[in-house]
Amino acid sequence: MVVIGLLYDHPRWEEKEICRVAEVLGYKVLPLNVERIVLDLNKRAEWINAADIFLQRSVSFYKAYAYSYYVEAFGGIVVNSSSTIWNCGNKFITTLLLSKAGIPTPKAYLVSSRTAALEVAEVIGYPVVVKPVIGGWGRYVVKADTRDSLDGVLELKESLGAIYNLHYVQEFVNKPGRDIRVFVVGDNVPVAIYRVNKSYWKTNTALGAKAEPLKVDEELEKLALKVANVVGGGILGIDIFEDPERGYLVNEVNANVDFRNTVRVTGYNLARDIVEYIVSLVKR
Amino acid sequence: MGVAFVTGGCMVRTVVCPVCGGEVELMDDVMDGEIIEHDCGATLVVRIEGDNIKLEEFQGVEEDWGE
Repeated sequence: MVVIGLLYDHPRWEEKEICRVAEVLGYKVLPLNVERIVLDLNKRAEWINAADIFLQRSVSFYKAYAYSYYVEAFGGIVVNSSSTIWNCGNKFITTLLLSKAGIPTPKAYLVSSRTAALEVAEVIGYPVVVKPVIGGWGRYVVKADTRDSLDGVLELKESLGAIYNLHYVQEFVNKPGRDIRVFVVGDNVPVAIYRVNKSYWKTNTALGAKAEPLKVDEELEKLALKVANVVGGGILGIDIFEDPERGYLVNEVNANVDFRNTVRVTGYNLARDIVEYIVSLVKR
Repeated sequence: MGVAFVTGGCMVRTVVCPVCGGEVELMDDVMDGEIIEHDCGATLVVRIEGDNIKLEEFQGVEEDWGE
């Protein structure tokens, strides 16, 4: 029987669903709370031998990266890989990789001072969006409509600590009240949703956007697989804007995806795809 | 740790809320590290060590969390 090591820190509906589906499919899940695990950096930990493959589901980016890296360092297989987590968890690296690969993204700049951010905003044109390089669920993502408001936001951000002193400044894309979330599992693009918010510019479902089903067409599938290939592959959620003139723009790529709302509105069993994909890697 | 009992086909455990002192019911699939809401308004983290289950007050979403 294949044993899947589930690495997590704060389990949500998604982790429980993965456990449930894996057991239905006849696989054993070994839950491993990374907050309980001491990593001995000088020798391979015993728990690595207890599973055939690991699924990384920690909500903390740094913990996910560290524990995936550790598994890989001692010869284990883990999804997502540390490199995928790193490439997706840093917004500036994601944008850089996508852009280098010719994948359309919103215009974005990385600056390390408030002065430079204000200069870049003049080049982009207001409004601009300022994001932390690391972090999710739309937290600390701010739209600044004027130079004064941007200056105030940056002053506040810089008081929060070193991680917020790198400013990812992005053009504001005038979305049609929604964006697109496309899921990639290995080489497949099984399901997608619109994330709709007509009354607020952010379209994170964590912030109240409503999920609606979206049929994956050939263009979207091709784009999603190209993006996945660029960031290192695995299990991904790709956020895409629809620009009226430029078409699809890839905004972000998520290496630890929430999918409860997607399952709810589409009825698609994404946990099954995830489990089957993981198991297929063991059998290769 | 509270007493285990069965209701509606689901094993439930009751534990004490560290904020209000009231009872908190946990479903049988509760996991270590899980974040739950209590009726008193507190957000709590479940900590499981062997057969012992306790709750801690949730300290908030950290800067590197989320998708």
